[in-house]
Amino acid sequence: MKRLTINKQILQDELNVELIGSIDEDADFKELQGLQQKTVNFDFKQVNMINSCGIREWIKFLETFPQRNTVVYNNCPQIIIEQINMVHGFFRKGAVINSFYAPYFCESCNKEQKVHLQTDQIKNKKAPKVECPTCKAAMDFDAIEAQYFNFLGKV
Amino acid sequence: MSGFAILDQIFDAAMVLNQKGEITYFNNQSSIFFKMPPRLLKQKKHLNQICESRDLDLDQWLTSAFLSFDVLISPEIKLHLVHEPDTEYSVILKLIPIEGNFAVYFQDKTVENTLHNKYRDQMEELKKTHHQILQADKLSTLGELTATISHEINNPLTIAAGHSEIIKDYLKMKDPLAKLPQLQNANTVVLDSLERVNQIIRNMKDFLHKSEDEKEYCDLEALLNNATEWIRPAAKKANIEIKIEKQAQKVVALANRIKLEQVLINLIKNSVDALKDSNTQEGQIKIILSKSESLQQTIIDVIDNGPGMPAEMKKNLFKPFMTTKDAGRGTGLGLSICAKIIETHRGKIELVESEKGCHFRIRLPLIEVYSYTRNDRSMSGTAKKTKQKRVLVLDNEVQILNVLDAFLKDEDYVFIGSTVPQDALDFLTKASVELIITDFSMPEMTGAQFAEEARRIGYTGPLLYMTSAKFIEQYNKDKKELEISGLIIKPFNREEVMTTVNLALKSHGGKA
Repeated sequence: MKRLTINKQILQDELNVELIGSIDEDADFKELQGLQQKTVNFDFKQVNMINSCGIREWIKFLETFPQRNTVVYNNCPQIIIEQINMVHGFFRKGAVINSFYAPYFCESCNKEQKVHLQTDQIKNKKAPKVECPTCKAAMDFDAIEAQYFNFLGKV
Repeated sequence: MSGFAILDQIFDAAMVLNQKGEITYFNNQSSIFFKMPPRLLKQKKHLNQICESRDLDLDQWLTSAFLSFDVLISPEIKLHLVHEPDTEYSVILKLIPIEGNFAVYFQDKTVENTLHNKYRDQMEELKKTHHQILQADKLSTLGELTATISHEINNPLTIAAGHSEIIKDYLKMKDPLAKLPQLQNANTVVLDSLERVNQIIRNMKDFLHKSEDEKEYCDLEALLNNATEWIRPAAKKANIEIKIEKQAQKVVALANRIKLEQVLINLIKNSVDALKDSNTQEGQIKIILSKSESLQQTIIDVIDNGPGMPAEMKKNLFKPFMTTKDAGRGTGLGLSICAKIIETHRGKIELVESEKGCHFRIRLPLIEVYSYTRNDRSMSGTAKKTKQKRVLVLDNEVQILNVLDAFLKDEDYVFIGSTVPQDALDFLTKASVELIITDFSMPEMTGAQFAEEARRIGYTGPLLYMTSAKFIEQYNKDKKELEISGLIIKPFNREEVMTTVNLALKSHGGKA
């Protein structure tokens, strides 16, 4: 299992954090403490695994961030969305999910796709229409909509 | 199927199977757990199309559950996904009959298992590191003592070499046999000197390589003599006197001899270094061995008349890398290791406030209490349904205690050793035992007097004498009067001891 790597950048009032690898019992967010900026952008695109110990570490870390700072989640993969939907505290009050990945399936190509969506594309917890990049046919949403988009109620 | 929708609210993956073992429902969590979209899960008829286990035949397990129509819980098993064989979980399955069907719950123990393994590996690593630090401290102590040890070896070697020359000269004479008494004397001196060298080397080897965890009954005076022997040459050279004060009664500890010796060498050597560095005139190190009956402790005081400990050092004295010595002369690990070693003996080491010099005190539990409590099973009573029998053995010879300790522990008895009759009697007023074995000839009181006292304070269990055959008359006299159950004749072997012990306990049948 690849250990978590944290890449960070501070640009004006924003802290941009890229998380790469596994968020598990060895995840250590200490290096981000004290770097709070008005806005903190987390990029989860390259997180490939998260377990219950990692979730604890994450929640403990989030608690160290002052409430006045805006926390933004970007490029959340399916495993992160599932945790946000399931675990209280993974997504803190007032935080923003900017974008995420959702599972789609193209019946004609028989192919699964993870489609990058912006949160404002989701209306009434319904998956937006997305066409297959190969055959241009409309793809089916490949999860349970009410469950997958449950996080929108928390935003 | 909406009747099972409640399963969507639980955190574990759950499925419903009909009596043919076909999947008729899966909850929302199943899709996450099996890493499979609902679209594909719907197509799977049987569990073995989704996951497999090398530890448990799932089909057979399900069939047996279906037949019994009862709640069934599996052992913790490894489960891997058919479409992703590299994904392996540790799970416990629970099968519950529900409305003519069966609900299967998958309790995921993977993280718990991973953490447990990590914890175990890290503890193992810590133990190894601890052992390495102890060994490094020994090597460092030995390194610092090398000069004096070489001197110690050189002396007897010089004597041996000189007397070999004498022997050689006598043998060159026309009639060497005329000098036979002188030859024999020279030969004895050579052998004694070489034996002395051999003893020094044996001590060094013991110090470095003896087993780390074994504890035995040790005579503390002998142990102190051994420890001071290492330092005495260096102390003598610096005109420092080392004095051992002890009470008349033999003081015994249940300890790892080599580790305790390491602690004492460290303390005495620190005192020697402090006295040397401060150029103290008439330097003296006093080691006092005593027992506190009220505190139930054995106490070793190491006191010197040197410059004492700087105030700023006192607070962190037992923390690693604290040292008063110049760079290159001490690692600063000595006292922290001493503290750890004493802790493993359920004792305490402390710096006693004193007006002059340095005063360290080591407190060790009395052997009766320590030997009773060190066996956790005797305390918890949970390890076995049958409670272990506790045997109190009283003998002023530590070697006898060590031999009987080995015999009795091998057969799962709780061994409680004592060398002083009064301590053993005090112990009997606080704790109960199922059998007592007592030596007959002891300096403080005879076995008969001890037995009488033990009966007087209410001990009603079996009591065995352990003595030489010449006391058979005494045994015959006491066996009725003091209810002595038997006699173990010295010298004895394992079988003799164990048979006597087992028969005494059996014949007494629960009277204890």
